[in-house]
Amino acid sequence: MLILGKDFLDKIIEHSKRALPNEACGILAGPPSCIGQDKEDSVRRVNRVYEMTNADKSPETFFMDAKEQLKVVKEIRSLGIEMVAIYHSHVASRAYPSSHDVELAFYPEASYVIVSLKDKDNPNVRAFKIRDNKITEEKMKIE
Amino acid sequence: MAITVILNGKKEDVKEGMSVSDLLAVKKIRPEVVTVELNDNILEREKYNKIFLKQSDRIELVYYMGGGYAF
Repeated sequence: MLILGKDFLDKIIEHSKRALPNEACGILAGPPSCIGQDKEDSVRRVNRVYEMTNADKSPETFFMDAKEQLKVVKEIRSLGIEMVAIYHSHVASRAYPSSHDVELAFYPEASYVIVSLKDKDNPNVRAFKIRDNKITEEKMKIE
Repeated sequence: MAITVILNGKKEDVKEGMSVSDLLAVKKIRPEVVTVELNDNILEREKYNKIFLKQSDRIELVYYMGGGYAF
């Protein structure tokens, strides 16, 4: 389960809208899980949002800038927290991983959060685990 | 003989004379899906087999993060 504060949820939705017409992307970080880490029942809480640059600048794809990614990964480590999730937006399609998302899902321990702006007035946000090309929806708790 | 490098922030012993390509092979990481930084410089993939690790080198390996709706 992914636990996300309402303020963080609002932040990633706002970032996704601001990035239009292109896809937005970012990293969510938080403390290491103490319950069922790397298992289906893991509980991860987000306490930091990193908005990242979509180097593709595209409405159909995203690719994080490598320099920025390295900087954020090091900062997360220096804070003693971990990358909990990778988020991105789908500007005109549902909040479900595409084949391209699955192809580039190299972090099985991370959650993949997708913000759908298909209905811009009612964004839909869902979380998934992608392991061995298998997609499993993950519970999200907003508090 | 082994040398000690810092890999993703943790000390790790590797074989002396190991190239970046060798390191990726040992870690079972495909070179085409990862960014490699050595002592704060991002390496070009074409040079992975020409760069050899030295004692106390700092290496960061990060997988590409991408995707999207695509086609």
